[in-house]
Amino acid sequence: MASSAFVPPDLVFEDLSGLVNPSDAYTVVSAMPSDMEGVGTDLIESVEITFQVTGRSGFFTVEIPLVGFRIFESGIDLTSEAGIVNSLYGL
Amino acid sequence: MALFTLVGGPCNGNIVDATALHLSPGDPVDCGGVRYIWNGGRPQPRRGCRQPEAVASAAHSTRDRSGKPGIGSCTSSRSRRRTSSGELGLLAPVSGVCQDKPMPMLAVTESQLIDAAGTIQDVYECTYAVAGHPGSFTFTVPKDGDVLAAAEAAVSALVAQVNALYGL
Repeated sequence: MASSAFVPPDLVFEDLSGLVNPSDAYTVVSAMPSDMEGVGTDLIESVEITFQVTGRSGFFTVEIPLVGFRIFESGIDLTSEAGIVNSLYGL
Repeated sequence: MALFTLVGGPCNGNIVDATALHLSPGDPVDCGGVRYIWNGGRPQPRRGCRQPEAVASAAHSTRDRSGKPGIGSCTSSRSRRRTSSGELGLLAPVSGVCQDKPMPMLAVTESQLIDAAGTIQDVYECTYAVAGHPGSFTFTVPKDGDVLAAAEAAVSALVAQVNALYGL
């Protein structure tokens, strides 16, 4: 009897970093699709972005729902998130 | 009435009424986590730091445009020269810390807290140095809401706690 081995398919993660506006204030490390809690028990599609703040150590993440036209018309801007980190360092 | 002006550090420019506070020459005044002491009414030499522009004039401030303490707020003076009562003197910080950097925040990282109900909360974990004391101290602020307001309140509470503990 011929035996066969199960070969799992390669996991493919979609890179959504193109949704994030480039900026001198931060550098996007990755932007992966994810799910986040919506209203009640519903999950809504989101993008989880890992980024570095220019001049600061460490990595920071932000999860943004993939709903609404804002993202697709103007891109995702992480300037305010980077600003929060810089402001914390300034305390 | 004996008025004194705090020079340098977080309370630069603050006026202290020594009479109202029953202060005698040489008595320390704690303000903003820094200990100030009467230096005889003259600016102190500040080795290792750039001289703050406002030292000679209490009416000026070393704070920059953003309201942060200016670079060069040296607090290393330990002189205890006295002056006559009633003279408008200067109280210089004596915490022994020379802060060339106006940023005592050592690190900002991300973390998560789990409360008793099992709810996960995303937080910023901030490692902070308190002027005048060794070591570093950590607090967290939720990433939701007004992060900066929460962090400022946490810093104030942390500084007060650390100073209180060192005062035991």
